[in-house]
Amino acid sequence: MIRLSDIIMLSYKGLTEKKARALLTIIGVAIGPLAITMIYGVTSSYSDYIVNQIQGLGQNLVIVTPSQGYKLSERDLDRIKGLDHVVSAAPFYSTQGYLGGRPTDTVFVYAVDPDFLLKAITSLEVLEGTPPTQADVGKGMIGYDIAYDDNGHRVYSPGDVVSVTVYVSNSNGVSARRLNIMVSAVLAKYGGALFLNPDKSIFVPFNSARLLMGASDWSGILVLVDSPTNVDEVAREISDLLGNNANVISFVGIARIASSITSAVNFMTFAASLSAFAVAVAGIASTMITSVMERTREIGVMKAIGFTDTQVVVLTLFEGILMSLIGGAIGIAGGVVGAFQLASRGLTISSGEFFKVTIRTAPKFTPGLIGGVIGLTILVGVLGSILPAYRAAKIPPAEALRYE
Amino acid sequence: MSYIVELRDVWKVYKTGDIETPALRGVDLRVAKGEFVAIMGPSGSGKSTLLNMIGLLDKPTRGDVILAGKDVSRLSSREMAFYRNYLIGFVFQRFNLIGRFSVMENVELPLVARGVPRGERERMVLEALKMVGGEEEWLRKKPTQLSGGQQQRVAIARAIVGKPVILLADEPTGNLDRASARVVMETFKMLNEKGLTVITVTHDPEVANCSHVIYVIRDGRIVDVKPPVKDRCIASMGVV
Ligand SMILES: Nc1ncnc2c1ncn2[C@@H]1O[C@H](COP(=O)(O)OP(=O)(O)OP(=O)(O)O)[C@@H](O)[C@H]1O
Ligand SMILES: [Mg+2]
Repeated sequence: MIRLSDIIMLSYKGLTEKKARALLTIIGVAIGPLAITMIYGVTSSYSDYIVNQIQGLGQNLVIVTPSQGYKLSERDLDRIKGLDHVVSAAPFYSTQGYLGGRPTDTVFVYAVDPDFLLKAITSLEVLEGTPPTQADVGKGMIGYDIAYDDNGHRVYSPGDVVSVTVYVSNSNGVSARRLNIMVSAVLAKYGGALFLNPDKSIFVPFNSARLLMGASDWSGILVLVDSPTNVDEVAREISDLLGNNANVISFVGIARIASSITSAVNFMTFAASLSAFAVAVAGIASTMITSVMERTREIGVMKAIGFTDTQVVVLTLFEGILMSLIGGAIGIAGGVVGAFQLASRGLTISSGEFFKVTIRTAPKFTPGLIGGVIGLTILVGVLGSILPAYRAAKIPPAEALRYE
Repeated sequence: MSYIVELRDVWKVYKTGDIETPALRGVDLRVAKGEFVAIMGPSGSGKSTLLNMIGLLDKPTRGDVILAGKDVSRLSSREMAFYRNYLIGFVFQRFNLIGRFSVMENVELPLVARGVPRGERERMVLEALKMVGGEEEWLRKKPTQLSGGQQQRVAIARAIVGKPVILLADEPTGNLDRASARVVMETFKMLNEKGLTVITVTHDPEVANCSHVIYVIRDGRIVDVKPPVKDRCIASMGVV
């Protein structure tokens, strides 16, 4: 039986015979793998990132925010608390501001029951000090990047006072207010910055919003559900309860939307790539059928020498597969480069003023993705050369030797 | 007596659409092991067709082909390829070397089909090339870098590299000058003296005279059997 190394050698020699033609075919093959590798690599890293972030943020959480012109009330809060599967619910107020005299140093200020917060977002940890109670108006927990500067040097310790200027909007417009908050706790480094950037945040008891900032409206209500499986049901019940007056979102829901967008994008890429693959099959087929015809006499000689029809089929198939594999390798390499290019621009997700984040993650190339692309590429080679290989096998040696 | 090649009432009718061309009409032929046979005849008389039957490149329409005692006229194409590889070596008028392969790659081709390991192949290729008077430095060259006579020697090396028992040649000197034709026939005689059975088709009486027996074929039938004129063999005549 013919040896694999010889099959590879003979197929390779076949390719190098007509270099330009082989090269053009190879480029044609490369397009599908390039598109798939590039887009899947980027989208899957985004969706992984989002899902990871969301898992850290607490999968039991539902956030209710008022629609334009509606004010959430104590009555809404009580009704939400009364729903099945709701463990507890707490109003919150959120705004932005800056530290001391440095307007570039943006921080986020959240007024919410500290107890509730630490229970709902389990990934938040107190590094030093003790969290304030609901009654400790004027005290707060600060994020790691506020307590420490970029070089890791301490700026604030528990007991220090942080001076922060916040923007408060109420019926007579937006005004700036200066607050002095006493640090009662410093939070551990959090890392992620999607939806919530705890490292750059100051968390104060809920009453601080009204008493210190003069904000009478709630930014929203945080609802803690007993288990992630009930989150959808609770979200639906709250929607029924408040109708158009409120937007109800859950991190679980966002995760689901993120991954369904990813799958939709991936599906469209796949569908588009399939046509690229179909073109590649046709390209290989026409190249291979041409070379089989050109080599009719040569194939006759090989058969006269003792090559079996099967060996001729294998050699022809291998030449097609080799061509598509080279194309696939070029496509995957190009796709990896392209994915890094694409990912370096970042993805900005915004939903009103509350969520606006830019995700920057390295693209991800799973063995499944690369393996799948290689598998498709081999399939392209096989499909493209199966007919030429059959033609080659059917060439009668005696006639091929008469062929001019 | 047993024969290495035996044809019994072999017919070959080519069909092209509705037209039937009977190329062989009942050929009986026996070739003993170690014999050197020449086949002569006018163009279109069926010489190549006959060689194709013996060489298992095609199947007879009727009749039996027996090689080394085995009826091979109804084998599968896979078995035919196998027999061609092990029993038969072909030499053609037009050399039929593959232009994009080196001489080495051309000569080793029958061994590649057989799956012989590379090292073993190199040894056998060198041995075959030496036997036909070729030079080692040819191995890396492309066939077209050699003269016609040298190319035919490479083709003979390819035909014998797998140590076949029958050498079939279809006008091996048809494209060569006298000097090269002489070298080719010297090689055939030498291989035949080493035990190889040689069957060659030729138009050239000075080639045919190198054989043990000359069959004359006309209109698909063997019409005459002649002894060669030994001293009119190109290989034993002085250089012209
Ligand atoms: N594949 C084929 N299909 C149809 N007819 C064929 C085929 N091969 C040969 N023939 C015909 O069969 C007859 C014998 O052909 P063959 O090639 O055996 O002759 P030949 O004696 O070798 O002639 P030459 O000396 O010209 O090579 C011719 O009439 C030829 O046209
Ligand atoms: Mg002929």
